[in-house]
Amino acid sequence: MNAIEINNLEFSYSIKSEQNILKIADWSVKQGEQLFIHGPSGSGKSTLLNIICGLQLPQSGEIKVLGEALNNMSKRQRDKYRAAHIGYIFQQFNLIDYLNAIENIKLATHFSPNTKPSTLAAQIDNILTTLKLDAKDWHRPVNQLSIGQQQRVGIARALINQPKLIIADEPTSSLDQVAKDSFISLLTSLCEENATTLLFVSHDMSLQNHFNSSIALNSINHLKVKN
Amino acid sequence: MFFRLASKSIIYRKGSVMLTIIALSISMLVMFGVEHIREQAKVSFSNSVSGVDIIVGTRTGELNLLLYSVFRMGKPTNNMSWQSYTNLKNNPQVKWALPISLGDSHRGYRVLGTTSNYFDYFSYGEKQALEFSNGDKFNHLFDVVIGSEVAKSLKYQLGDQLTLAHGIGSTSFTNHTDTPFKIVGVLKPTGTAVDQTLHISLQGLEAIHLSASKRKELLNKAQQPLTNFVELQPQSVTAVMLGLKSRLSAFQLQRNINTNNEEPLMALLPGVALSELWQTLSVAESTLRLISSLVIISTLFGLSAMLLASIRERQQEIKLLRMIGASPFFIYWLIELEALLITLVSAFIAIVLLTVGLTASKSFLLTHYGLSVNANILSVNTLITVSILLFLTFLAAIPPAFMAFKEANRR
Ligand SMILES: Nc1ncnc2c1ncn2[C@@H]1O[C@H](COP(=O)(O)OP(=O)(O)OP(=O)(O)O)[C@@H](O)[C@H]1O
Ligand SMILES: [Mg+2]
Repeated sequence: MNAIEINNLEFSYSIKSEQNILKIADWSVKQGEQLFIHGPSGSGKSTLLNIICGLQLPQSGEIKVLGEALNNMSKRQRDKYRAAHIGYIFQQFNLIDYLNAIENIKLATHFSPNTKPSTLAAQIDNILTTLKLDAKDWHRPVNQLSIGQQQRVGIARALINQPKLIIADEPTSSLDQVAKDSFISLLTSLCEENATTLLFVSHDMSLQNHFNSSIALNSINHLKVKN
Repeated sequence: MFFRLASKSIIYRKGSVMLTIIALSISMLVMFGVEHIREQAKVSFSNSVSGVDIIVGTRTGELNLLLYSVFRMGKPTNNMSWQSYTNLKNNPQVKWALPISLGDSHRGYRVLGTTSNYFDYFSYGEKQALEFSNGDKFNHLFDVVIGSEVAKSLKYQLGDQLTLAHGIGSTSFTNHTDTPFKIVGVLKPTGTAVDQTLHISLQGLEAIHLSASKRKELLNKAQQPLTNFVELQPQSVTAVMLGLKSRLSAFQLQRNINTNNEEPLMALLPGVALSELWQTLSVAESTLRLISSLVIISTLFGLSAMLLASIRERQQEIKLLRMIGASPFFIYWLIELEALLITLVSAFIAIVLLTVGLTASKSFLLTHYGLSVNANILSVNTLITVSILLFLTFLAAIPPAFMAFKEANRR
């Protein structure tokens, strides 16, 4: 089965300008694949990820994520679907400043239907330990943590609902080389363990060799984007 | 989680939130305070004079006579002659007449000179007669009957001796043992000015004002009945309280007294005078209420502006909340809840401060204004006001919440 399937997708931010950002004829990602997506700035990488998450709907074409056609869902259903099945890691601001690590992770479970409150605390414990976050940092406001620590809490937050798909949009661009490498190996090994599909977007080509497959957005996007 | 998110968010933004809370608390404090004291004053004042049909004094302002004779506020009035008192007492329409003499105080509490049937006729609240918790009326020259508040705060008991001296009270060292009064009665609490009063006989009051040598003479005769001291009968009294045989004759008697040419006197009907007082005060009252409402409204605009500005800083947070599955409505209500929490916290602070303030100033208000206030301000009215404020807050938070909603929908 494919984790993501796209057919004849067209997308533009505004109907008036009619300037398409994306036009993808046929593209799919296999379940369990760890895919590195690269492309120049402004080429529409983040836009594509938003569509996969169901935050934006294409003007035409079909998109299926984990076997469900997003086009057929209501906005509310897409929000629920995203909470339950997709973990998202941003470049930065992955966490809510005024909550601590544990609360941030709990917040992500608040919107997901698959949360079991009875085991939640143990699950959070477990995941933070796996991510090598010191227990003393668990209850500190997250803005007191280093960027690297914050990004690891971000992984924990993305993983807590045991999503089938993880999307990471340039999550390493604010980390140094050592932190970058350890971040990616942590993320990829955790995804491998759970057979989670991983989409990893970056323009940093040096990260490519961490992944078993890689793709340039421009090779699937049949649009010349003016820069 | 929802509640926690909102409360932590407010705490995180404490800098700007604090100012809003302070402004809101202060204006609510004024609003609740004015309302509460007004209500309490009305009850307390009308309780204090409920049993008196007419008060007669010399010609001064009606309010001044009322406030001075009953609550001891305002300027002292001139005295009226003893002859006028006797005339009033003998008036066929009058059931009882109580002469009162004021002007002295004992450690901040007023000393009232009167006749001993004061304790039979004076009534308060809903026509309740005065009752003794201990002892009885005064019968001798140097007997004193004290109000419950005097007993409580000065820790006086039956049989205690205290010194009354003209104008000065117990701080005087010179005439320490000259006029030692003995407490023969302690009254039960009434919630009126009576509680803050020391009652002595008119003759006793006269005795305080005699020269030292004459007072010494009197000390030896102190055990004789009051009627023996004819020479101590006062020439004048501050005012006379009247109870009528029929209340219907009140207006007629008032007119007669006011137009009497023998002595320029003034008669007032306490109920009527009080309602005139509330009329006068209602302007100040509604001005204060208007000002505090305006402050609250402008603060709510400020709250709205503050939240609007914060939405701009919170775009990342909104994006994140959307990504983990929060609906735009969740975000809308998050902002609303934050605003409502700010108002709730302010209301709480205002109520606590007011309660503490009232508790602390309770005895001050009692002794200085004869005003007994209940420190418990939680009434249906307060709850209604808080609800209205919460509704206004809800309205004020619509623009920022809607902006957050739009921001959330954009993603
Ligand atoms: N919310 C939006 N409304 C309108 N246009 C947008 C919006 N977001 C992005 N765009 C436009 O869409 C195009 C693609 O943007 P996108 O963010 O997907 O690029 P990207 O590949 O992620 O770039 P980068 O590597 O810099 O993050 C850009 O031209 C951008 O200006
Ligand atoms: Mg991007």
